Amino acid sequence: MKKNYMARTVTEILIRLLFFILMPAAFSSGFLGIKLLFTSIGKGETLNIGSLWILIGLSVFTIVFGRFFCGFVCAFGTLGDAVYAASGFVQRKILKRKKQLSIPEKPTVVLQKIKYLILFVIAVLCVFDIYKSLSGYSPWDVFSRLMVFRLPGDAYWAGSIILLLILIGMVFKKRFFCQFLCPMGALFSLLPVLPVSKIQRNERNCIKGCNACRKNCPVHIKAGENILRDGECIACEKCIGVCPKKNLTQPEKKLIKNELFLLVIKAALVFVMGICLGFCRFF
Amino acid sequence: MKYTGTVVKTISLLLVIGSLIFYQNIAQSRADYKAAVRAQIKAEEKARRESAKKASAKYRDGVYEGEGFGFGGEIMVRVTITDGEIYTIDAYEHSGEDEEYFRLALGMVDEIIDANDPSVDVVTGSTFSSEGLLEAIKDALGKATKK
Repeated sequence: MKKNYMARTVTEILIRLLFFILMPAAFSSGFLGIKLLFTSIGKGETLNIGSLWILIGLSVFTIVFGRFFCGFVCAFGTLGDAVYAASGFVQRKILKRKKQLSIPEKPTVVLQKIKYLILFVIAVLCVFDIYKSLSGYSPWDVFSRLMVFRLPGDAYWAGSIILLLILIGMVFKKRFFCQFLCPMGALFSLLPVLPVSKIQRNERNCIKGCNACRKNCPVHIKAGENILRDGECIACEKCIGVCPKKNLTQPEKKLIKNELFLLVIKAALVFVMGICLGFCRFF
Repeated sequence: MKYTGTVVKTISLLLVIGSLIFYQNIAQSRADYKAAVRAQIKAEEKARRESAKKASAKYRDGVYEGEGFGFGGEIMVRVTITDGEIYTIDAYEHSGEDEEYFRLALGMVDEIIDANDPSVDVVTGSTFSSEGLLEAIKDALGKATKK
């Protein structure tokens, strides 16, 4: 069991690292589609399908496989994971805390709604064509600049400060940006996911009072419950990896038995899509 | 229900896609209409510019007099050029001509004004009068022509 868990952790980290290097701007390329969509609508112009392909591609992928993009591909998600892990290391090893300081469940569930508001506000700003004059406020733009080893410049001071605040937030909550602030995540969580890709829990085999899956969920989803909020699931598969009885599965696993292989297949699909739609660096 | 969430989201997604397609159709037809109007305006502008260019290359504005010899004497005309185009042609002296023949010959005047050019066929059956009239008009236009 331990060996399995290690293999999964290593695979997950490799996939995230690879996408972090290859597709650091995938999220902003996809979100650009949303901005252009609402800008066109605001002007009463026809929608330019050519500029929406990345958005459409990522949305279709999310509908078929769940938010694998959020869980493994998005560079901002990986950044959040890394910052939170580093924070945990510091807290335990240096500050000698037993438990890592983190925002508890109840406020988390409320804070998760902020991202829908952000998506809505950005959409409205685009409709009234105000957004483009506010690009200096975008932490994503600052991050994109940094990823290509460029300093963001004076015009981005506000975005830089916001990015800094987000990084501080990442210290205190796993996937802080993803679950609270990400407008792309808000859109993805509103998309339906094919039932075959939903994680399900076989409760009959559970160890009484274990709930390791629920306790380890970064977005506080109760595995086994079917609720509207399950759109919050970022398909990080933490619950699958942590379950001592291997009780969590996706129906799609009936087709491909090896769960790590399934992860690699999904990653490969995103990679191919990235090359085809042109949001993959170096290729 | 196990899949309530999925069903609700699927329906809303379909509604969103449906309204986007609906929007796209309206926007497209509006864009087509606008493009057609714009093309028409452009074509008209171009035609106007071209005719203006053509005309301005030809004549200067003003009133010009010309004379020619008709059947029985001098024919005198006054040609008015406005905006570079032949605006009116007034044959004020044609005392040597036979009224009926001269009236026939005057049929050329409207043709010349419409064409903005004096190269029209002379009226058969009224050859002397129309040749004299044409001569007078050409004489006047010759003074109006830009060198």
